[in-house]
Amino acid sequence: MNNNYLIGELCKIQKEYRQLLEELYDEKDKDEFVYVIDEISLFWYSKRNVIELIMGNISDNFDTYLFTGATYLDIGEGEHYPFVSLGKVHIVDDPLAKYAEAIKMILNDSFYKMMKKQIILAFDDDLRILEKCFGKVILLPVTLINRMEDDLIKEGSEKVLMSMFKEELTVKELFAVKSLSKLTSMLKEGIHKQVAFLEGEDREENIMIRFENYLNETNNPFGDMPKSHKFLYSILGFITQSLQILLCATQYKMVPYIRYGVTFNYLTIIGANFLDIPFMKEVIFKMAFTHLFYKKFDWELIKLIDFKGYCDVVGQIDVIGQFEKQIEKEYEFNSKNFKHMNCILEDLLVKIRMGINKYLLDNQV
Amino acid sequence: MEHSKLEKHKFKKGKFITPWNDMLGDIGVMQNWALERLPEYIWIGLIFEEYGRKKGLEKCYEMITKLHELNPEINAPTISNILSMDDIKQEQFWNFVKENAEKKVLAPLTLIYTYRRYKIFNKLFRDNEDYETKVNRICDVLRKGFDGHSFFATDIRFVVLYFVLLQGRLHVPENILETICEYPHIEHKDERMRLVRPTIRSMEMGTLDMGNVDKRNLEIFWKRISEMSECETFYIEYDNLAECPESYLDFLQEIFEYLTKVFVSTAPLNEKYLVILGISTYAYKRIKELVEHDLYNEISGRGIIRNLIEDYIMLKYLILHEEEHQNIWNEYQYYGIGLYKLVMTRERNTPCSYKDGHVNYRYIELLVNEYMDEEYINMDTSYFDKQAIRVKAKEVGEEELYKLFYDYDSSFEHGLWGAVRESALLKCNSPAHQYHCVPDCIGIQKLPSVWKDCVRTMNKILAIIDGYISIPKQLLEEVQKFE
Repeated sequence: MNNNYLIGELCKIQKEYRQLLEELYDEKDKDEFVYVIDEISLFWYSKRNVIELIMGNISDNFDTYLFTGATYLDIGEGEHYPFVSLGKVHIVDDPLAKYAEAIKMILNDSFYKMMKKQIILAFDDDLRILEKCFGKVILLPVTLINRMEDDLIKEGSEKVLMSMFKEELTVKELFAVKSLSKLTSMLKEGIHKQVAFLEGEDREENIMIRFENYLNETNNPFGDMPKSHKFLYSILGFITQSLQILLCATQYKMVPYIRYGVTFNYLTIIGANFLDIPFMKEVIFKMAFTHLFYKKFDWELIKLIDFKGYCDVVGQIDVIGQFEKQIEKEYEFNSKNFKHMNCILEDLLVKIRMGINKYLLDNQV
Repeated sequence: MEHSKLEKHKFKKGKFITPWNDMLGDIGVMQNWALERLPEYIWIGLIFEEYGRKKGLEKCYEMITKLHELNPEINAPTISNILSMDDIKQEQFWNFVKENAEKKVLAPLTLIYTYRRYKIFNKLFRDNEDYETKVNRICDVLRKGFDGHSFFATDIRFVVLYFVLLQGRLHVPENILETICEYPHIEHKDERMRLVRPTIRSMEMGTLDMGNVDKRNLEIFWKRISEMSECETFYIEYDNLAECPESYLDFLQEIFEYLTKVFVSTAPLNEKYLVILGISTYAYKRIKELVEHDLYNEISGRGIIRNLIEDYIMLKYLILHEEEHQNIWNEYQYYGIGLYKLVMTRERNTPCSYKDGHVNYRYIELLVNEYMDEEYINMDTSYFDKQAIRVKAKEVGEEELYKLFYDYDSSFEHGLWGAVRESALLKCNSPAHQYHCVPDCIGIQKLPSVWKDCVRTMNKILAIIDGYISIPKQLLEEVQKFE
């Protein structure tokens, strides 16, 4: 971002947020948890106008990468290393902000408790980001701020959902189906395998079994409603999240950095239906590259070098710049480009390794 | 409140000093009620807002009595004072408030005084109402209480005053005390209130020196409430008041075509007529711009009327002095040409770096040297005839035009703040934003129409010309109908 004034405002917000989290740190594990969440919500609410302004100006031509669609970054596991390898600006869609909104709508006790655990983990991670990655990784409530297209997203999500079924049914008619087995039998050919619930699941397995596993893993967030409704709400949830991410990315000229395979799955399927939207092709293509980069990232690297040094190394290499140059900005989804993408990636990972070695040599005491 | 007349102001070194400022000297401005005191008493305002005056006064009485019991030392029932009391007293006080007023009444203040620093307050008053509703409640109180003289604000100030009296920090004569004690028992519409209200307010102001303003708290309050609320801008609409302006222009065109024919055929070398017609044609062209580009309500419209006024005054001035000032017409022309020469000479010394600018220096050079070699042309940088337009206006009996119009329009020509405020800024109606101004980036705020003034002034110029070159009567009558 070439806007010194907004950069200054952004730094102020990050500092204020850090101070807020530090002051609330001791309160988060207590019974006063709800006040902590409310204060975080209030903080982002009060900053919404300036954040929208920053979001509209932060990215110069898709050089900004947005970490979203997951729980939290997880600095403790070194997840910030691969994240900062790509692009110039790195934004984490603050999970705390989203959780703070979501927890207000929780229906059942056990899911509330699970959410609370996640919130506490995200809280710690946020504080680590603000302490250790200040200036390199930015925390902003991106998808929360981008609420203006709520109706559009709702409409779009429902259309996508309805398109998954053989018959032309309305959403109301779909929800009228009470049996899960009947509902799944109404899905179009091939949709069963496209629908994903959990990372690493076997898509050949029966969709109902996979869904059951998903409910168990996530502590059944839906309470006592019929399974068919839970199924529809789950799928709708994935679709809505994907649409939100894609709209946000194209609006603010950012590339989503997606680690989670399930989210990536839905993003690519849904994104493929919107390739006529300006920049969508570039977004999806680069998103695929970042997902692949993450999957192939050499985790040994993070043990070799400190974060600041790593940022210097990848800053000099300019991974995305090199990728764009080599792919010649042809963002077409074909096997040739995917093979090419793989080769470029292998190459770049080697360059990063070499860059680190050089850095360590140059900075030897 | 009646405002001071101009005659009451003292004129010192180019400034008109108000009687008040002349008396006070450097003491400075009094503490502002809305900006520096009201935020501390929003909690009282919220109680009034919820329960109305009668019940609100009763509840406030209970609460400030409790506050007095718990802490006889604090100087005022400001929220920052209450929130800095020790935890036990604070909890006792807020619990008492909660027993006497519903939680939701003070819940909006949890947006400002948040959990991390004000745990006791938050635990007691935080609820699940949405932020927007809470912000609006605070804004409603701010709006009602912003004017320190409003009934609502006076009620709040009464509570503050009563507390100070309870604390024994203020001693008043018995008759004043009686007046103060009357206050809660009489309605605002009661005639007695016309005396009681000012007493309350002036007594409350008397308590100002008793405590320091918590500037930090004020900053926090205004920062948070302004961040959380949206602007509510509005603009003033004006009509252009121009009825058939094209017809007026048509008549003017006929007149000037006639005048040009007369000039060319009867007095083509007459300098006086050249200057009179030159200046008036310039004025006509400005009116043409006004109509053709619909500038009646635009900033440029003010530039046009100012120009017309100046042309009119200048014409009258030249005519007034032509007898004693020989060659005035020629000198007037060369005064203007001299100013052109000055620009041209500067450019010769330091060529303009923009090759596509709007000043055609080579053409100006031709104009400067048109009738006389430039070596014979001086460049006078003072006012023409060493007199400013203000003095000229007075001499020709057009002081009103200058003082009431020209001077006002000069602010627009020079982009001074009065003009900027009137034309380039929108007012925000949000008390949370202290009724600030916001740039009018979409150009929605227009200005009063200059049409009528332009027509009147142009017609006056035509009247001058008519004194020398008779304008056909029917045309003159037609243009006068547009006034």
